[in-house]
Amino acid sequence: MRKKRILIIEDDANIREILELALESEGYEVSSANNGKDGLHRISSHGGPDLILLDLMMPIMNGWEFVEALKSNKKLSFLPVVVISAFMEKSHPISCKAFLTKPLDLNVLLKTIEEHAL
Amino acid sequence: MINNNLGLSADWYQIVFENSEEGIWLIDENDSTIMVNAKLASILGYGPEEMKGRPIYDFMDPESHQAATDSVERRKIGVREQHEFLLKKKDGKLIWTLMASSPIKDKHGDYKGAMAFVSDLTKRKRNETLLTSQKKIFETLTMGGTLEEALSILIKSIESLVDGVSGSILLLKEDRQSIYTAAGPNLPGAFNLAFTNEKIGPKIGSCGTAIYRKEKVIVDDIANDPLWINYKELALSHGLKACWSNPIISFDGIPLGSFAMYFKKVRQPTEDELKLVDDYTIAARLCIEHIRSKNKEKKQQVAMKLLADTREALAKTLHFRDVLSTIPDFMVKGFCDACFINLIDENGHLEAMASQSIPELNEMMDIFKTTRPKTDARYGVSKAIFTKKPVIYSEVFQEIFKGEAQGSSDDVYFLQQMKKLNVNSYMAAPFIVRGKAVGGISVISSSNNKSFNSLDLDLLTQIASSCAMAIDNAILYEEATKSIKVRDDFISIASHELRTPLTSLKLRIDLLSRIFDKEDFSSDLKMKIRPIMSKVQPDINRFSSLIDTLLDISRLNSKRLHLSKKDCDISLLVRDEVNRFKPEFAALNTKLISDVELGVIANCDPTRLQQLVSNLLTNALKFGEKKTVEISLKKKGDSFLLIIKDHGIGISSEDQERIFKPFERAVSDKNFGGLGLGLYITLQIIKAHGGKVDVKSKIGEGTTFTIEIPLLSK
Repeated sequence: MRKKRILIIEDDANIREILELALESEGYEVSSANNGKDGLHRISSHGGPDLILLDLMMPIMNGWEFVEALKSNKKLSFLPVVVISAFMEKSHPISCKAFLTKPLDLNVLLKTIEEHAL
Repeated sequence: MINNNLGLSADWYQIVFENSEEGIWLIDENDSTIMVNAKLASILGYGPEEMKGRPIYDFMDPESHQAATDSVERRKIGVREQHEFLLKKKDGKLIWTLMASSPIKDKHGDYKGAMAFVSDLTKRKRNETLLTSQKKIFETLTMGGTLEEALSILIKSIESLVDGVSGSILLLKEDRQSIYTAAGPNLPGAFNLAFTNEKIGPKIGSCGTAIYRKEKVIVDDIANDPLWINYKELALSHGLKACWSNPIISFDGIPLGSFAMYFKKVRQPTEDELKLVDDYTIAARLCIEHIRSKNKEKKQQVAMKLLADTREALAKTLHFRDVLSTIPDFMVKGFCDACFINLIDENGHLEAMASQSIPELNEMMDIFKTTRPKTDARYGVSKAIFTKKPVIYSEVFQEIFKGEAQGSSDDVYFLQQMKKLNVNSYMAAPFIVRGKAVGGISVISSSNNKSFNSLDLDLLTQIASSCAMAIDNAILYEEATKSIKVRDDFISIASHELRTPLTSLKLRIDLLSRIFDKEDFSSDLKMKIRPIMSKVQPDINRFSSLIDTLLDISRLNSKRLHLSKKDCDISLLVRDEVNRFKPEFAALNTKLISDVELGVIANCDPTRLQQLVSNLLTNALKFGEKKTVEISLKKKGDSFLLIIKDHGIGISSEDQERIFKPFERAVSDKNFGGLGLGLYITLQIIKAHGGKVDVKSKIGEGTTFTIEIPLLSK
């Protein structure tokens, strides 16, 4: 069985690193991007992952813009997105499979990924 | 000649007859005068012998003859009566008299003539004339007549009483120096005008001198009197030769003006005439004081209303530009003919912000609007702003002379412009905000009989200071809003930034404990490490919830507590929260009893409600002294009741009011940590859901919070 691929889009290097570590130890194939634009670039060069872990507040292209770009592309709009954010404002809704607020609980995160990954 | 019926001597009758204070007139049956006493002769201006033998009709106007005949006829049929009768004096003047007449009959009862006691009614008639004129004045004033109209009535009245007199009333202006003719209906207009704006002094004709000296000035011959040296040509050219003037002095001793009698011949007043002028002077004084106090009252009312209106308008909103622009509208309602508001813009220019005028001045306003006042000019509102002091030109054309004399060219230039636009009076006051002049208000009066005085200037200054206060408030508010936004933004960003390292820290711990659980460590090592690991998790949770609290506060302060409401199962929510808390209660050896009615569904924000339950359970645990805590949920009508009861330290009644305020707590922070925000946030959540909270507590016995929230909140 092939390893499921997770794309982490997160501007904080520390969080990226520990997420990579944790998910790899759970048997996922993990790649990372610094921001939304970088994420889109990775998807177009390496193909779509089985799930995208997405931060919202990021420079260059933020999470909302990324989702908008993703949804506007028919080939990619089906990709499941799980938002991980410290930003709790409900006045800026975003279309996603799940919304987890930072600080994350690893067990909850793993369960959510397992549930939504293609 | 007189019968001695009473046994008195004839001499006695003669003495009484001659010494009587009343005139006595005896006539025969042919209406001829038998005799008159000295008094009657003097009333009519004759010698006693001159009247003897002459018919009564010689002593009256032809118009009265019929009345006299009728009167005699009544005597013939025996009527005694008292009646007023108009007689003619020797010099031809008419005089009102009161006659008590009775018939004289012989012993057979035949009519032989009549006798009349006659008294002079001139004084009474004069008083009646004065009273009539005062009544007329009162009517005129009631109908909205002016002071000038009222005083004219008084003049015409005295002119009807004294032959050949032309009356005049001069009034002193506000400056208590210059005079003007208020009434002189029968004096030449040019003569009246000549005294307007003259200053009172020791040699200013009869009137200017009388007001100056505050005493009566009688000039019987203008041509040869030193007081008239500068005015005699003028007076004589109009044929005026004598002038007696009384100063009009107010009740509290302040000169108001003068009451004068002019004659076309050199003439001394009689004692009666002096008394008459005194009476009329008093009447004039009463009239002036009445009108002035009425006007003052009216003016004060206008002023009070104006102040109240402007203050109310200014307090309504913090958008001071909107409000300031409405001020001129108030001002032209009774206070001035036009009003302007100027503000200094960022470039230091004087910006015309708002203006208003009475409709008659629309044309003039167009000129004003297009004329941009120079900020550096030292006149008008610019002067007020530059000097930070109010400016008044009470009478523009007078000020021009003054300005020219003093060589202040800026003022004179400005005043000449004003004069061209028919402005009579001008005032301006600066807006001073924290020591800096930021603009000003200016008003004009175009009507000749309204000049601004120091009281008006006081009012304008007060209005200007209200405006300045409104501007200051708006600036302060703007600054405060800005700093609140900066603070809220800071809290927002700070809590986001704090969360980021906390996230990686927590993930590391989570990963560590996962590995620790999976890997095959010695049980000895596990025993040592597990208690430490288990404490890390609550620490991180607490840190995280402190950050949440900070963010909540910033949201509540900027009124951004948005609820995302949906139908939720409150029973489930409360049960989950109780289960989540069980380990914490167990760790502190505290019993938690729950009594949850099933199937309570309400339209709520589940996250906020969870926060509410969590806050209250945290408090109960913190202050519950390890005694049992009870939580219950039940439906009550259209609401649900959430009751959380502890048996801990309790809250004193005075503290019960404080605990819902931010950063308050009932106990000292040495014993219990936390920001003191929990109950404040809890209350905000309850309020946002349209609910209410009730606290029952006693020191040492515990506290019960009862929360009632509608199932369907709006």
